[in-house]
Amino acid sequence: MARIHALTALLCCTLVFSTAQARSQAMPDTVSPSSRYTVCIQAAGGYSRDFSEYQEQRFLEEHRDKGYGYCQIRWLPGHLLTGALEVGYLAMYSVTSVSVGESQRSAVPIMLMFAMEPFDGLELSGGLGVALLSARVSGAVGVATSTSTSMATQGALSYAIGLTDRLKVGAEIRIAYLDLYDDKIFNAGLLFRYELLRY
Amino acid sequence: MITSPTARTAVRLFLLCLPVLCLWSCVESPTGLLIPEFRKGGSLAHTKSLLPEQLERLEGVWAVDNGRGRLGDSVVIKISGDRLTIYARPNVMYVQLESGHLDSVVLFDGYWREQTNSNTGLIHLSIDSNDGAEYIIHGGRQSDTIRLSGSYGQGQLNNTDAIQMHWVRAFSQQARQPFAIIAHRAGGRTADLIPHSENTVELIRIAERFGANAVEIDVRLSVDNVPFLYHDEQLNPRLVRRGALVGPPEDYPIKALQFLVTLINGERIPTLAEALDAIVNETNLEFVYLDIKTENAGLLSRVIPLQLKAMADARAIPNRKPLTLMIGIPTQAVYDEFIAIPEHRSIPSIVELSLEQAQQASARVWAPRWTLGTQLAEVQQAKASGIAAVTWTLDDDAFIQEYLANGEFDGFLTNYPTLVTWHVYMR
Repeated sequence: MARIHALTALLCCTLVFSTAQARSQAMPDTVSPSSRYTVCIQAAGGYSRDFSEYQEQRFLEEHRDKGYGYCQIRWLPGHLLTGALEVGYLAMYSVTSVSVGESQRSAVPIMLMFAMEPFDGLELSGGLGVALLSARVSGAVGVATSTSTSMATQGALSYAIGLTDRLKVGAEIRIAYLDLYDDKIFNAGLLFRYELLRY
Repeated sequence: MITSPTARTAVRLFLLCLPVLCLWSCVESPTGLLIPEFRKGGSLAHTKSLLPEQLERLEGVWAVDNGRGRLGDSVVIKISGDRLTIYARPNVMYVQLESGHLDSVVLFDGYWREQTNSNTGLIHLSIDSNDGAEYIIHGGRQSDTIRLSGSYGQGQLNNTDAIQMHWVRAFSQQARQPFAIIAHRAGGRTADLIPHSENTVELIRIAERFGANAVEIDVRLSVDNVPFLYHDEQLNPRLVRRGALVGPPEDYPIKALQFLVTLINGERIPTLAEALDAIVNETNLEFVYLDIKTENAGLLSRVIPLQLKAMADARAIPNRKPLTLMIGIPTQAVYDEFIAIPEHRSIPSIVELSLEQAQQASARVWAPRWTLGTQLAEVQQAKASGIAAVTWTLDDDAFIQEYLANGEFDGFLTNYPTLVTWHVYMR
């Protein structure tokens, strides 16, 4: 699904271009009055649902309701666009059977995210990256693991409020798409954002 | 607050694109090709099946009188496995037929397929009593004219286009010479929308229907040391449905592979032992090319006993054509492991490396890549030293014709065995 990645790349370029243009016009209300640049750390976690179409599992017990978590280092230039580097963990799917045991699929996405806050507290973000997919079988057949790498695309909507001057807490929903196996995962969870540095 | 018009546009764009992105990701690519099937109880319901000796009277080269747009000027008709197959040249077309006779009329029902696209449909043919049916059913003096006529349609539609052809000649002596038509991956690539997934027992069972008298199958080794059939290095959407496993199939035990992985057309990954059992007991294939796809130490020591057992099993079956299984040696690493086996000279092998290496390994067959040309001098040298020569993977119509006319290969490995069959039997 290269077209999805192309579309996301186009979207990111649009955001970068429009922010750069806004900056060039030096509009005062797009610039934070107190400081010019901010570095934040954001951590989030919660519920994850794999809504991909899987092969029919007639003799297996299937589990799609899992969890997710990630950590982001965010850089806010004081304008519309925020850039972030994200590393996360997505538990995706598992099946259990008497004859084989349990087989689990998960992914570790490493993403470059871009975000903007069109309304106070409400943030839209999207990004591209890679995901390290892994599978682990354990049980009657022993233990076996394997990995593979996929391109990944992600979109998110979040709302956060400030608890203190530096700490914000909020909720988010996200959709991730991993193209190697056409995986689609929905996430909903809580987030915490902490300002590490202003300069 | 956002006051910049550009920024507002960007936000609107973003909001617009996000749901589009989500919807787009849900679009599934179409996979597979539905081969149409005649209704049970069709025109063959009350007929008596034709015996092989009756079907043999139909074998030969036929001229097409009506339907040349689809079939070309000439077709080859030949018994292929348990079916009668019509081989045509345009778009790698073939027709597979079941047959029967009712009183003095011979009837055929089946489907046609063009392998270079997704066109397929039903076909119904017959031979009337005054068009040679008496000769087909009862034998005796060959009738002056044998004429097949009927109709075909697209998909499940029937009777939309007329078709007619007449028998011209029997196969030439040259066409009857032994020639290996080796079906790649047991019948073709999954991507060519073949009836079953590549490298499966289901495809092996019907490989002869496409004109093949040999198959090439790809062998890998599971983590618990069981040889199995699979081509690619990864479990990927080209070959398997999304399931619980990812990554190289060789990382898993065979039970997990067979239980948790479903191939793209619904089959499971077969072990080599299962595949060889089907070849020996359910086909009349004469030659199997075991393409060693991995350099895992220990694969050869597990494949060779299965190879020798299958050949012994085939010899024990009365009336079965002789079967030779060859270890395919595609790389230097596999070659080194093979010649390190003390009794390697007595193990049938097919070497894809140089002719010198094939000679040193006492290979039965030397198999250069087709892009290297007809290599007439080398092929003649191989034959002089008792080594047969086949080339791979030859799919192009013009090159098949040229290699048959100007080369001296003993066989072709191909994704289009029906096209090679047409060329071989038109000679």
